[in-house]
Amino acid sequence: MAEKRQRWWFWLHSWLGLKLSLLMGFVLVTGTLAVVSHEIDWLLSPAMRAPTAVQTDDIAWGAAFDAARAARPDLTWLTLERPSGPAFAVQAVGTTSWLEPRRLWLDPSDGTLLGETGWKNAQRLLRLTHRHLLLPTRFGIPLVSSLSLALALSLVSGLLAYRRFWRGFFRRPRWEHSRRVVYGDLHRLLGLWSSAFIAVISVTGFWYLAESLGWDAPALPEARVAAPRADALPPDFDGRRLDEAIAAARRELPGLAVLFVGFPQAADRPLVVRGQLSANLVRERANRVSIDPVTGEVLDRYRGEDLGAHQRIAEAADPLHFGTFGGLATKLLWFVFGILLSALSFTGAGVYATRMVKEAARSRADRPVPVEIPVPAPERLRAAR
Amino acid sequence: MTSPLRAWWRGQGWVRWPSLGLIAVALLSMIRYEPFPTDWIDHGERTLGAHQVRLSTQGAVRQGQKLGLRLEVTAAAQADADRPLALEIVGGSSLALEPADSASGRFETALRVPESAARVVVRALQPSLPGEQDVRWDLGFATVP
Repeated sequence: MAEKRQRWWFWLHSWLGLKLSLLMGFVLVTGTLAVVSHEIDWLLSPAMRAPTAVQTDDIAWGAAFDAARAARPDLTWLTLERPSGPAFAVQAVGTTSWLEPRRLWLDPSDGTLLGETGWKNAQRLLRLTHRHLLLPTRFGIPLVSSLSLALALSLVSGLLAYRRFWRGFFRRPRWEHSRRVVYGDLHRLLGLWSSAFIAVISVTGFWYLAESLGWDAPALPEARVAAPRADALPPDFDGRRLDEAIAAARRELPGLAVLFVGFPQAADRPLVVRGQLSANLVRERANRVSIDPVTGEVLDRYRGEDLGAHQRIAEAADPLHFGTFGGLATKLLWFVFGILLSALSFTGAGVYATRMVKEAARSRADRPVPVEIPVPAPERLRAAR
Repeated sequence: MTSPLRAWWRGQGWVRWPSLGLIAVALLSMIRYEPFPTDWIDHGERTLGAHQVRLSTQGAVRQGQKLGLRLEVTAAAQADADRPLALEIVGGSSLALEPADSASGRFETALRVPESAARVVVRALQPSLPGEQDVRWDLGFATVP
């Protein structure tokens, strides 16, 4: 009975893995590359590289903003942020009059302009492809995130089909055997070592599915300024005032590591300063101070700890799914596990394919070989009669 | 002889086709991805003589490439409705417009942005008015294709 159940789990594991191997493999490979997509862009674009490594508290936000404004006075400013670790330049994002976002890269130590790049880059393309296959998001996100169910089922069925799987963590692949055996051994070994990672990716992927189906966490309330201005961002708002706003945000949330500034896009919206503080597994948006860009008055402030359980789950999904919670070290770890997970998809397909080839060869060998039976010539038949 | 690749490919059954289709669409969309809207962007209305003129553009403003332009003209007085207009990219090509030719007062065209253009300004002018009156829309810096 137990053996029959195990065979059923094995069948389910093989069936799921095979049928979804192409799409799942594509999503896994793009996701793996997306983990290090900022770093890929950093390698490809010299402008993204900070000339000197600058810690978060020492970033010259005001000088960077002034330099960006001087270089591109025609842009409407959206954000100023540092996308990743100390090796990255500060990024100012603004839109043109035809609504194309542009990125300006600035030295975090003194704000010097390092260069300008377009919005389209490896990070953008890999993220969008992995997230929704560049389909309309209302279809693409549920489609891709529903693969998390298949991934979870593959993990569970794989473990249930693998008798005493806990003994397999240190079982060496039998390299001297046939290709099918090697594929199978590798598949089991990689699967075991990445099973915790698969569980994390499945759970967070399922969360994205839930979000796309309407179970997303409520957003933090957005502050409004008391007296709307003539412009979204006052024309005289410069780097000095930005530095004052950031100083005010740090006074409100002592210890805030500022990583992001969002410029107001409407006349009644505030300037928003975000960063990391004391809460674990939250995005920058969880720690936020809203400031009136005219008066410098602090309008509201939130810490990650102020969020409800639903919002904390939503906040934790990205750091866990992308591996960003521990900086470059966890990103690289996620990248390696991503490679393992992608390899599982391909080694699983390899196991199936080599088994099919072997079975085809065996069925040919078992097939009765046609034997030539001498047929008597008609005249001999007649003579015999 | 059955190759492993063929065995895997056939083993997926019909699911391989929608999978392949989705991947093909994703790859094609990656190549064609443009980070700006493809619909018309309104740049505002100006008064030119007796006309109210509204400019919209379509697509990105790239050096040396054509830019989709739409001018909507409404005449304040019927007597001025037929006065000819011209639309030009400053430093680049221009086009004469005859309001009488368009019942709706809407003109759609594409003009090439000069190769050397840094800041792109679109100008609508009325040559028949004294001093060749014009109105301008500063679109900002053209980007390199």
